[in-house]
Amino acid sequence: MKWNKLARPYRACLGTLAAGVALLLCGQACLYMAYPRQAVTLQLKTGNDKELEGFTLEGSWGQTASAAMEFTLSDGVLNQHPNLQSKQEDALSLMDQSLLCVPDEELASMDQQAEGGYVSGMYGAFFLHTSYEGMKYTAQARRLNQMYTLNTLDGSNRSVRFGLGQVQLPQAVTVTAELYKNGRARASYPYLMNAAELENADLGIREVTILDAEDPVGLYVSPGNGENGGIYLVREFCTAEEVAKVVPDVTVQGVAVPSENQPYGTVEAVCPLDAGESLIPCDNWGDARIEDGHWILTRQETGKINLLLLDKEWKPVGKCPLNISMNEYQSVTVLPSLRTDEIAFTVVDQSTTGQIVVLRINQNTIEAQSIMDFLATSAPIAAGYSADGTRLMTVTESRQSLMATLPAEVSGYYNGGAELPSDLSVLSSAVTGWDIQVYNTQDLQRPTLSACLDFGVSQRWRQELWLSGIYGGERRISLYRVTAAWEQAGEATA
Amino acid sequence: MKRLLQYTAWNWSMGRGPVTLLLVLGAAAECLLLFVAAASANQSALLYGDLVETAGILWVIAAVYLLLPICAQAVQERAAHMTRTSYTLFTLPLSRWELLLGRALSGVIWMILGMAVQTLVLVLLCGPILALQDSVSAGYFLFEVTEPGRLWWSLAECSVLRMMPPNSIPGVIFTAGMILIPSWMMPSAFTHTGWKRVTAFVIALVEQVSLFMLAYPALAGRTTWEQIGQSLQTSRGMGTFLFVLTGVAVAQILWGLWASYRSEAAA
Repeated sequence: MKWNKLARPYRACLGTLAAGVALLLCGQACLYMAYPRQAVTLQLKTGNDKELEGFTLEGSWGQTASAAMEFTLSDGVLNQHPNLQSKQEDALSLMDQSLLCVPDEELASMDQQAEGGYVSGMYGAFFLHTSYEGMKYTAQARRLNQMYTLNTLDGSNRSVRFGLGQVQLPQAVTVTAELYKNGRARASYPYLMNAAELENADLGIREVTILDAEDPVGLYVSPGNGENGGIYLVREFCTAEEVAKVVPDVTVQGVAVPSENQPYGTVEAVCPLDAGESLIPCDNWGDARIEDGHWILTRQETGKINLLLLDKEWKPVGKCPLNISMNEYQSVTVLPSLRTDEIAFTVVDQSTTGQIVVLRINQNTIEAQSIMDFLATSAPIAAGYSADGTRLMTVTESRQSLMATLPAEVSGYYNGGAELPSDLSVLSSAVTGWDIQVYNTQDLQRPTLSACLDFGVSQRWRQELWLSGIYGGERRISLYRVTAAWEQAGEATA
Repeated sequence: MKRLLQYTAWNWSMGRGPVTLLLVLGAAAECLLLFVAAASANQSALLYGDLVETAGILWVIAAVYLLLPICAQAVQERAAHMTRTSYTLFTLPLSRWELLLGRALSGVIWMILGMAVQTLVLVLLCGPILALQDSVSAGYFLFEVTEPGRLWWSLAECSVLRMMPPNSIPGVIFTAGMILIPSWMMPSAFTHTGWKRVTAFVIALVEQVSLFMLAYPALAGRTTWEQIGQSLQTSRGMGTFLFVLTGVAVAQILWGLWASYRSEAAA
C-alpha cells in the first residue's frame, strides 16, 4: 500500500469528527439559547403596575438539580434565564446521637449487678452477609452522663462528642452494654441508653437542634439540669484515628471497650442565652439570615418574645423585644426574605388563621414592623417591604385543582401486582403560579395591587397525581421556590 | 505528527463498518425501547428523562460503550494478519508507541461520534415520544399541560442528554476518563496473543464496567458529577477505588506497550 493512500481517510475522519463535535456543542447551545422566553408571565389583575417599583422578587422553577429556570421581577419588569449548572450543596450530611452513659467510675458496680445474655444476628444479603455474636448485659442506673455525638455522613468518618451534664434520675432506668468478639461487624459499648427513651422534660435531659449544617456546624442546646441554653459551633471534628488516640478504654465484664464518656473534638459556646430563655423552634432554619449573619427567636419564662440578631459566627450583636404573642402550640415558619436587611416569618396555630411578621432591621434594631393576618390555607411564601419602606408585598401560591383517573392495572404495576378493585379518581391541588399583592403599610387590609406570576400546568403533575393515587395521600412537591435575598447576595459574591 | 494523524485516520476508517453497524443497531434498539415504553399506559405519565431510564436505554448505552472500542479495532486486528496490511504496518515510519497512540486516538474519535449519535437519537425522538405519551394518556388526565417550552424542559431534564457533553469541570474530567481509558486499554489488549490477550481483555472490560457503574447514578439523574467528585474527595473508599482503577489502566497500557515492543503481535 502506498503511503499517500493513507491520506485519503484523513479528510473523512476530520470531517466526521468536526460534525460530531459540532452536533454536541449545538445541543448544549440550544439548551442555553432556545429556552422558552415566556416560561413565566406576569398578569396584572388590579391596581397600577407602578406599585411594583422598589420590589425585587427572585424565584427559581425546576425539578432537577441541574435544570432550572430563574426569574426576577424587579421594579415590575420580569426577566428569566435558564440555570443549567448543578448547585453545590455546602451543607454537611450529619447524623446525631444523644446517649445517657453510666460514668466510667461506676462501671464496676454495674458489672456486679448486671444480667447477661447471648446475642447474635446477621445483616447484609447473599454472600455479602455479615454475622455477629456476643453478650448483652443489662443493669439499673440512676446517675448518668448525657453525651451528644455528631457524625458526618460524607464518607470522611469524622465526629465530635461533648457532654451535656450529669442527670440524677428519680427512678433507676435500664442501661445496656454489648460486647462482641471482633469490633468489625458490630461495635462493643459500655452501659448506656438512648436519651430519646426518656421524654420527660422535667428530668433535665437537654435537647440539641442542628441550626446550620454548613461548616462550621451550628447547634442549639436547650436549657436543663441547671444549665442555660445556648448556641454552639463545632470548630473541629475528629477522624476515627484521632478518636482512637483520645478515647481511653474502660473495662466491662473484663473486656476492654472504648469509653463513651470521653468528649473529643472542639465545640465553642458562641451565644449563651439568659436563664429561663429558650429558642422557639422554627421550620426552615436555613432562611433565618440577616445581612451576612443569622437570627433566632427566643421565649423567656415570662412569655416575652425576643429577636436575637447574630453575626456570621452566631455571636450576638443585638436583641430586640417583639410585641407579639406566641404560644407553644403555634408553629413558626421562616420565610425567604426579599431584602438582606429584612426578616419575615409566619406564625400558624391549630385554627384556620395565622399571622405573618415582617421586620426591617437597621443597625441591629427594628426600623419597621408589620403584622398581617391570613388564612392558613393561603399562607404567604415570601413577604417584604419596598425599597422606601412605604409598601409591603406578599407572595402566596395560587393553586388549580387537577383531576385524573388512575387505571387499576397501572396501580398494580407500581404496587407489585396489587391492583385496585377498579379505576380510581384522583384529585390534587397543583401550584400553577404565585399571587402577588402589594399593600400600603398604613392599610394592610386592602391591597393596592394584585397580580399573578403564571407558570402553567407542568407535565410533572401527571406523575404526581398518579403517585398520590398509587401510594395514597396528596403529594406536595416544590417545583417553584423563592430565592432569598441572602442567596442572591451569596451568588453575587461568588 | 502528521504521519501519526494519518495513521489514526486510517485506523479510524478501517473501523467504519463495524462501528457504524453497532451504532445503528444501538439507535434502533433505543428507538424500539422508547416507543414500546411510551406506548404503555404504565409509563404514560413519566417525564422524558424518567422514561429514558425506565425504558432500559442505559443498558443499550452500556452495551455500546463496552463493544465500541472492540469494534473500532477488530477490523485492523483481523486485517493485520493479511499480507498487504501487515506490510503497511511493518513499513510505517512510526514507532510502536505511536502506533498504539494512533489506535487509541481513533478510539477516542469513535467514542465522541458515539456520543453525538446518542444525542441526536434522544433529541429527535423527544417530540414523537411526547406526542405518543399524550395520545396514550389522553383519556386519563382531565387537564392539559400548559407549561411553556415543554420540549425544552424535557430535554433539559434528561440526565443522559445533559451529560453529552457535560457542562461542568468534574463532568468533563470524568467523561474524558471514560473515553480515554477504554480507548487506550482495548488497543493495548490487542497487542497480546494467547492467554495474555484474554487476560488483558478481561481487565479492560472489568475496568470499563467499573467506570460505567461509577457514572450510572449520574446518567440516571440520581446524582451529579459534582456530588460524585465531592464524595471522591471526602470518602476514603471512593478515592481508593478511583486510584485502583487508574493504576490498573496505566499498568495494562504499559503492559501492552511492552508487548508491542517485544513484537508479540504484528501491530
